[in-house]
Amino acid sequence: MSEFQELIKNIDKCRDYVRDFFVYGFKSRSDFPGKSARTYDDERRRIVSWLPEYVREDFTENERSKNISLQIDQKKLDTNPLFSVWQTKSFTDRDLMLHFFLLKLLEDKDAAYSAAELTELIMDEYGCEADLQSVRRKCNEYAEEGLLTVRREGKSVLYSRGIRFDELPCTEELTDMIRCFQLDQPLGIVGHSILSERDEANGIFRIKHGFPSFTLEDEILLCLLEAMRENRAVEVLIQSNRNRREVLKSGCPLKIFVSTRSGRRYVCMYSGKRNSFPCFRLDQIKEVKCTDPVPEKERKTLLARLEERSVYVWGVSGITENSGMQKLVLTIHADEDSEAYIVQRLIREGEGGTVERTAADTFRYEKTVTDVMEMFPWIRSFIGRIEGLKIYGTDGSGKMKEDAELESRFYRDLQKMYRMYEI
Amino acid sequence: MDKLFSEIYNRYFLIVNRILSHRGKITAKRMGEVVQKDGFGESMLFLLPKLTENAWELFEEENGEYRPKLRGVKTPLSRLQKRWLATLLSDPRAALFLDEKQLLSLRKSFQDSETLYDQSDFRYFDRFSDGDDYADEGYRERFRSILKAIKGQSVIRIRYESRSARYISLTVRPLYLEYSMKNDCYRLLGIVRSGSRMRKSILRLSRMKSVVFCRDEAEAFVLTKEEPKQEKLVLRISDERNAMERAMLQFADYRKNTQRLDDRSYRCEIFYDREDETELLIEVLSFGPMIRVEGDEHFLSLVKERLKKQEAFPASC
Repeated sequence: MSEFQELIKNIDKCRDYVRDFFVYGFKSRSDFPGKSARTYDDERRRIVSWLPEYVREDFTENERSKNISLQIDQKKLDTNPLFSVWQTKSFTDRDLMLHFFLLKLLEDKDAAYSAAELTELIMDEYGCEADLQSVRRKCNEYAEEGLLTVRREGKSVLYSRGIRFDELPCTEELTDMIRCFQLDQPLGIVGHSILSERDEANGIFRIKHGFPSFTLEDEILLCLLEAMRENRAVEVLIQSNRNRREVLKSGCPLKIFVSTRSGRRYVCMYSGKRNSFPCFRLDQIKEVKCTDPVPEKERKTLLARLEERSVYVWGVSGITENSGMQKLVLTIHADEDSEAYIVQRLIREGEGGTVERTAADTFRYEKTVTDVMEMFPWIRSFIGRIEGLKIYGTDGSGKMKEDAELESRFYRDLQKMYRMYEI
Repeated sequence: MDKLFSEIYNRYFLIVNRILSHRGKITAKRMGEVVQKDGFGESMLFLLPKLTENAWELFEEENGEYRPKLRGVKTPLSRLQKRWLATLLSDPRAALFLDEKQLLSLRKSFQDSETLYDQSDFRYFDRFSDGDDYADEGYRERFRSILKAIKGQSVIRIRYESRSARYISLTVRPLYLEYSMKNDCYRLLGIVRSGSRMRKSILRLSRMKSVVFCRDEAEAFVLTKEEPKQEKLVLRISDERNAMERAMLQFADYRKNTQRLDDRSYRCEIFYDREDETELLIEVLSFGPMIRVEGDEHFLSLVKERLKKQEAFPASC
């Protein structure tokens, strides 16, 4: 049985635990079926070790087991605590020694040595024996990571170091930009790694409406972005959060859809088999594999089709052209003098829907969408002001007709709420 | 393919580098302090022995002290780091930090680095449409002045358009710049002098007309009253229509505690600042009957008030 280690080889398993502890925060050992008690205990111990300031341990109702949750109030923090997860890759003693010896020997911008020379220098300068093969492998690895550059001189392969941050122009302004963008940009962990390397903290920027768990999906995002850059199709392995069933989907990744309200990110892909544009949640994708190249012209055509359709898509549902259209007509009450911000909400949050004053203190919002159900949460945010709601859908002949079933579904929920609060 | 999970970004490497950067010899005690401060919770157990036992041959031991064989290194930028930086230069907000000349010069530095994505690869589908105008030169200047004031701990005077469209002049000690992903805007969090009182204030940058530096001492700007404690909202979530998962994700940017009550329902406590109350209220309402507010009384009364108003409309029944 292997001993517990603070660092890990593979992030996949651990990432799921961190997500569950952060997003849900009520799961205990029994909620992780299929994992041994030891696996659960080790993962839990690691997470407590990585994020000690944010961990809270509680006994469950029956007091038989403990659950842990991650208490993160992102808007009060200057970084994303979950970035720590990316700083836990295990390494060998040799990895660490060569890291420092090689980077020191190549510190001078003009220094360029072959692997054999570096092996000798490690002995001469630091009195450590290193074998040529390991040094060459590490140099090639670092060249692959971009830390070193390689050039051929005759029969020799010479290594020198790449550019350092402090050699860039306007580093002060750039550092400020990184301080800010690490919090909200995709792959913010990369910015965080630059700041950590320079021991630079962020005492200036904060983020509101940020979703710390986005970072846990960033490796998947990186693979998808690479596929998009290279015009390649992908195969994605998706695992449902509810029943843990896995399915394999393939297609051409076209765009990343981000919800700034619900904390979800999706990849929108084109599926040639069904001639459709399904969206898959990044937090449910376990693996991405790049497959066949997609001709650039074909990708552009698909993107144009997606753009055209996006005008009618409220969230991520109904992007495929053959899904029908629905129209929402929402009548909202707002005092014109004192509640102009309500009309502003309709305009700024209404994704291009029209807003018209129909009578004193009454405004009509209209929008044609592919799936009006996706709008329900937003409509409910106007509870207390909804004077009327009409939904129309296309019938078999393509004509718009009132959809009483959908309307009553909305009102049934309202009735439930009245009963719930004894109104 | 660039790797995000790589040993070169490992926390242990950073700590060892910090220890190697220490001037002269270093004691085991001092090493321990660095590991304790910058390491993970159990790094004292795993990292410190490697250092004190000199397992990596990075030190020469002298009378119980450690002399580094080499000084700390400045790691070159990885390809992924260069690509990320190159990508950011095309973000409209980059111009808040860098002027055209600086942007050009940086683009030249990264000319061999392929960007990771284009802005058009992302669609922020529910982002508000009235985000800040980052192309406005006046906005950029005000942003830079505030940034400078935060870094220099200076006090500034802001001419500000209030909600009632009146112009007011505010003397502020700026503390933080807050970016909202949902609103795509910046807000300034600071301490505002109001007569003899000092109060915390949140000001939207797009409503600022001018920012000038003052001679006032920043140290004098101390909150008169202590910041109020966070409020606690108690929700009962019924796991219909995947509401549980949706709620957990949507409220992920609040500090919260969740307990399972039975197979279908959960109790969730959310801690929030009073200034976020209205926003939280409409978020809770957006879940409809899947979420019931159980407390506190004040928040509950707000929900009931909205529902009573709604019921009064004829179409609501």
